Amino acid sequence: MSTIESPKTLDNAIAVENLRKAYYNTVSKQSQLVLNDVSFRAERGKVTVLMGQSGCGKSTLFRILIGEEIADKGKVEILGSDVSPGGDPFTEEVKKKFGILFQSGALFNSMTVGDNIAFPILEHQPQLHSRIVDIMVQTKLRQVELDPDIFQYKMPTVLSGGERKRVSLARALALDPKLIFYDEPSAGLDPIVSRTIDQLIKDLVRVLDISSVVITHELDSAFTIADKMIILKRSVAEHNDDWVGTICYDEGTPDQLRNSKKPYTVEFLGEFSNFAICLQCRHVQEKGFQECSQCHEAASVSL
Amino acid sequence: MEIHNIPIDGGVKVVPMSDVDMTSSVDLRKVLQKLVRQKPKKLIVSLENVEYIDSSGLATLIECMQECLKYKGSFRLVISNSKIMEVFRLARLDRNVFQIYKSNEEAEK
Repeated sequence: MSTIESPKTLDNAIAVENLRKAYYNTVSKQSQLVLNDVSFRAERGKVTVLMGQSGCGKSTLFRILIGEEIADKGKVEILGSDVSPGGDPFTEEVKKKFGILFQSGALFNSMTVGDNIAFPILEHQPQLHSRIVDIMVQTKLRQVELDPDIFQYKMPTVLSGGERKRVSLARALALDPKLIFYDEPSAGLDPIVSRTIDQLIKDLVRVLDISSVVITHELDSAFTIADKMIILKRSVAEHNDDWVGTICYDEGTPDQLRNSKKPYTVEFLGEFSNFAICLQCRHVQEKGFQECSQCHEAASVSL
Repeated sequence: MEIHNIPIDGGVKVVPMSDVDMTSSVDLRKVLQKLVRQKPKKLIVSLENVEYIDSSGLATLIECMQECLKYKGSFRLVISNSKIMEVFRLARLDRNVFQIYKSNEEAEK
């Protein structure tokens, strides 16, 4: 496993350069480019949020980052390990370094909550005594604010959506990873539980220095937790509207994106942007306008 | 992992000399379990040289504390590093679980 050591590498939890991925469309019998030279960096010890419209390739990118899919071209580094396509394989050693919170939770329904959390520990750290593993499971449950006395021996099927999400997070934390990937962490949760999960994500970054990469389109949550936000956008050909792959359209801190005047950013962020866009001519201007300053049409705006 | 055992008045102080992770916690556990079998009145673990402790390290300390409680021995931790203290806080172990002291002098009284 090659490790590319440089000051820049050591600062980044993830470094992606010029990533390309295409799928073969069996209906049109043509190759469809999904990711078109996507490049971004997620800093260590920070929360990086990846956002984009439905179907823009977020899930494809997510699968490439967790090693379940291989890109066609480009460079991918995870915590200093080069896992670029055509290079060193995505080994178990690399996968041990990060945890994953899947959108559905992905708990084993045939195992208790405790056994679900213990599973990766028993798999990857067999030298640990069973009593130690048991206590670790209880600690993880406390970290996600679940009482082990109540939850450790429950089956996943009796848990609420929020409880399942917390147990999944406890399992993602099992091996004390330095990086956690979150796939739509707030999906299906009520606002109160969603805010609790957001706070947990922030606490984990702050206290345990766990870098976080979050895929979401919940803007409330994104603006609450993000240190950096990246907007992915389906790119279209100039001469028609054919999709020519997704690009990184804009990126910055939440404040920087609120003040971005890039048209799609303003449209995507909606009420979270400090600007509005005329839907007729796509001119970006201050919010609250009655008539577009460019095309002079009456306000038909993205608020 | 290098671990120092220092006799103190009424017991023993254990001082891990580096970080406690899933590899080194096994060594720490061996030392602590051996000491606990001797049932010292006072067992102190000083984390003064520890910059990082993971959940296996926390679990090792919890297990030792529980063993001490069984024979009514005293188990104390010395934590002077605020980041280590935060780890205990996030794991809800900073209150009503361990006796935590900021210095060796306070812990040994």
